[in-house]
Amino acid sequence: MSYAYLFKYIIIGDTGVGKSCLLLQFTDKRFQPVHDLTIGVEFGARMITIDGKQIKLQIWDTAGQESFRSITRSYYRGAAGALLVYDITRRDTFNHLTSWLEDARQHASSNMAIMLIGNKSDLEARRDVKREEGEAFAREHGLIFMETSAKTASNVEEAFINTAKEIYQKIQDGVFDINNEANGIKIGPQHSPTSGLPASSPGGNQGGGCC
Amino acid sequence: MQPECKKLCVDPRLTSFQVLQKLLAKAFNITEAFSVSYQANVKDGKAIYLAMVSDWDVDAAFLSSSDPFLRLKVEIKPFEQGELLHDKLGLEDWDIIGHNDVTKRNDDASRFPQSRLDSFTESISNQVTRTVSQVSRVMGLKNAAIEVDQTAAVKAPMSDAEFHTFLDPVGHLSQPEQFRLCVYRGGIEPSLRKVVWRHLLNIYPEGLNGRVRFEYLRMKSAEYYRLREEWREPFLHGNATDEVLGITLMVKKDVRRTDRAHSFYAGADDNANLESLFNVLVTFALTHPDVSYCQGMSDIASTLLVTQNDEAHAYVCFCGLMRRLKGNFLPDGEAMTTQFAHLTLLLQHHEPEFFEYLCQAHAHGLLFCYRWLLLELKREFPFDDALHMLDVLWSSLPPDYPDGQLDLVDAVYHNHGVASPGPGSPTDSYIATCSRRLHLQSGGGTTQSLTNGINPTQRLRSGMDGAKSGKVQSERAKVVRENDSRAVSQPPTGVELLNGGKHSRSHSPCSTDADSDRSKEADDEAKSNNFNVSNNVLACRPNCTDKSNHAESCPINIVVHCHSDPACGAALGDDVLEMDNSHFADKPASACSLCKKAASACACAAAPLAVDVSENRDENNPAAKLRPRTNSAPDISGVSPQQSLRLTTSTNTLRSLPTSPRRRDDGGGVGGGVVPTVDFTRPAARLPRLPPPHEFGGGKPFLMFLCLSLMTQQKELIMSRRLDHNDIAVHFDRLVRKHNVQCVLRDARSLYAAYLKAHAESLAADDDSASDDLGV
Repeated sequence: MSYAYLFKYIIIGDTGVGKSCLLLQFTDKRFQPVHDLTIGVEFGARMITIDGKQIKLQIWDTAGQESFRSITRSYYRGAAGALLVYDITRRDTFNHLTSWLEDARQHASSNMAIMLIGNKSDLEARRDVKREEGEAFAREHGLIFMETSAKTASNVEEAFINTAKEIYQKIQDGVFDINNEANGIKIGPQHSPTSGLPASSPGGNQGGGCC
Repeated sequence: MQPECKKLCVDPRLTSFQVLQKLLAKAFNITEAFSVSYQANVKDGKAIYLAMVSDWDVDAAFLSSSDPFLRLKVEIKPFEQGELLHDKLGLEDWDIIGHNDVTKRNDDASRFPQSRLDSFTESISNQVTRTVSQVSRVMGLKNAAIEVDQTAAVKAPMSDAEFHTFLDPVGHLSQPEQFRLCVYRGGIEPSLRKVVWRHLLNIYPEGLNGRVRFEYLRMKSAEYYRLREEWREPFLHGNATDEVLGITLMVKKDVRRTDRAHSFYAGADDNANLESLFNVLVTFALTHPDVSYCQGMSDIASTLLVTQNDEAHAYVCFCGLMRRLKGNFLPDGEAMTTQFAHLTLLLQHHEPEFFEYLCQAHAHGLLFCYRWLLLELKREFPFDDALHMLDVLWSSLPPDYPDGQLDLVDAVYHNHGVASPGPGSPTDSYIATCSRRLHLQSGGGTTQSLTNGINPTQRLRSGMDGAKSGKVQSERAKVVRENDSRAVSQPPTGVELLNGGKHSRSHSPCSTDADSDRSKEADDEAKSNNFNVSNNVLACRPNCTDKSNHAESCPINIVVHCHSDPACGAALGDDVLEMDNSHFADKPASACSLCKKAASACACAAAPLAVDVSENRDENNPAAKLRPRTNSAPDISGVSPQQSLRLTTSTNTLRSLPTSPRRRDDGGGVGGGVVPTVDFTRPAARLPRLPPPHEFGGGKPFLMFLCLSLMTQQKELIMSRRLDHNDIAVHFDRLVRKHNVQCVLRDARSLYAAYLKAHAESLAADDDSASDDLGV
């Protein structure tokens, strides 16, 4: 399936906050309560539509273990969007956001769109971090914020798509140099930066692995 | 209690051990585990009962029964309690096969005749190849693997009966290389895996008999529980240190999502097996501060716990395995980098077209292989298939006995007694490795830089790491070494291993460290001997054709005493086992010629494949015929098709090849002078030769071929769908636990055999190649 743009995402955050579950919910629309722990990095992809254009999201789901931190640093390069995830039932995962953000700011393109996600919103009874705190953190650091539940799928689509919208908007505003792949954006095989035509190429030579 | 007696009538031709067990269970209405022994014959009016644990024993029982009856003794008593049925036999290898294990077999009907046939042919081949196996002890296991692979189809998994053909009457594993070869060819029956893995994972020092192994394992278990309680007791009482808290938190999270689909770990989070896995990992992390805990370890330990079904045994096995795998988790990242570089090289050799495709797709960093390499492919197959794959993978390596005893703690812990933070973040290795891979993948790298992935010094160092760590281990091994083997201090535990005064003068031919060792005191030499001998079974191969640097072969004396346990002390007092590999010791000068003979024998054994090649040569377009093709007569010699043609007539061609790792620096480092990918149209001519087995993949050559097979099986699909690098990675992520183990093993075995053959040929043809291969 052809696409107008390809955006590369990275999902970061402490271990066990539900990064892989968010990805699985987004790409497969299913929830796996016990997900294999991620070794290094795992990969996902899905096609979405924004403004009538096919956009392929290429998502790198990273391992969250503290000691794996530095590797995620190498993944920031070449990512257009990041989902920074914490677990609303575990305050420590919220407390670590600052250091994740520092990493991201330091190693990613300055234009990278970062979405702050408080996951496991279905576990209201065990909530340890108030929604307002998440909102305040996002405001303070200029992030988009959303609470999600990978289990119920609540806000999962929105999280990924809103991030894509922000990136798309930045392209429209000319913030991104879309010819530089280090920004995590690629123009589809049949599209030029200016044509803006919807995907119509035959051959489908860029089929997504999961679409 | 009066024993209950019953008479049963069975047909010897139809009654397998399992059938017999079922009959007995039914006859006596037994529901729990029980042991069976049979009366062999009567000597001096005393009945001798022998344990019956396999079809083999059943056969023997029927044959040796002089009575009109075969008398059996059934005891409702799990062997785990350590009761030895027969004091001449070490039953450690038998006792752990529980009733449950046995009944799990699903191919009951067909198994009996099959296993009989196997044990028959195997025992014959053992007779015939006894001398060959001595040769292969010097040559390393792999030559034998070639011979077998040329002639034999994949065999049925190793059965109890077959396993026992490798044990002598006291349960000593008499032909460790042949034993491994046998496992390599067909894996292990699930019920036997528990026992066999302990051997494959090198937890036992060399030369123990069954009973000493049993004591050794008991002692190691006790040691484990002591180590565990050091942290666990305070932990359970809320007095844990921050370090323990940190590690337990991490491990707990991961244990709860490790193999939970497997029935062993299924159910609620309070499943006792989860706690065992947790204990194993936390104990390891705290007693191994240099590696600590790292994600991925739970996957590795999980298979061991499922198989051993005993926390302490699983821990001991884990320590054995981590001796080899810990490099994957070390901060320097070298082990992973080496594996990536070698896998890349292998792909270039075998699948130049596919590799070119991966380059164009920016996937040549092979980042999607990270999990494969880190976990030795454990997660790529369905769980039970993964166990089978591990059988084969682990048995592809020669024995590597621990020096003295297997250490359950690392040097840092041993020296300080308490866990202290390691030198760096454990998974800095991941970072180091992946940054490099990412850099390549994102276009910064070049063709040249890929083959430059490791420089010669790195390679040399990685080749020598083993020797170094061996020394570290030997320095802290809790082994008493004295010339007088009787002067033994009383150990607190059951078994003590002594390295006798008659130690060898062997040295590692490839290790300058080891060379310098020779100038040290004899005691130091003794310390490193066991390790060097065992670790370099393969390493000595490339050098044994080098007259000036041949292996001075080596008598290894391991004297095993069993002391302090009063229960076994008496029985073992006179049971001093002396292992003396003096076949080679008394003719050190001939060792080299022995190697040569074996090398040529090996080349002969490889003849059938060479014949195929020369037949091709007779046809019109020989070069085209010889073009590397997937899975068939692959060109792994590192030469172009034309050159490989010549290889069959004159292997000296290899001499002129650009093999030297020295050249690898020519293209500059990563991001240096860009070599356009167009070069891949003629890749073979420019490629360095594949490393020798002991270096390949950092000493994991077969893993490289497994990974190659995994990739080539998806090649068509990937290329036909024109997947990009992310889609390729997604594709492989979706194949987690779905690869077909038989297909992958089949391909990998055949590729590996061809590689070994080519390697042996190049050795035979080129005396000087050894030093090149070592990068010196």
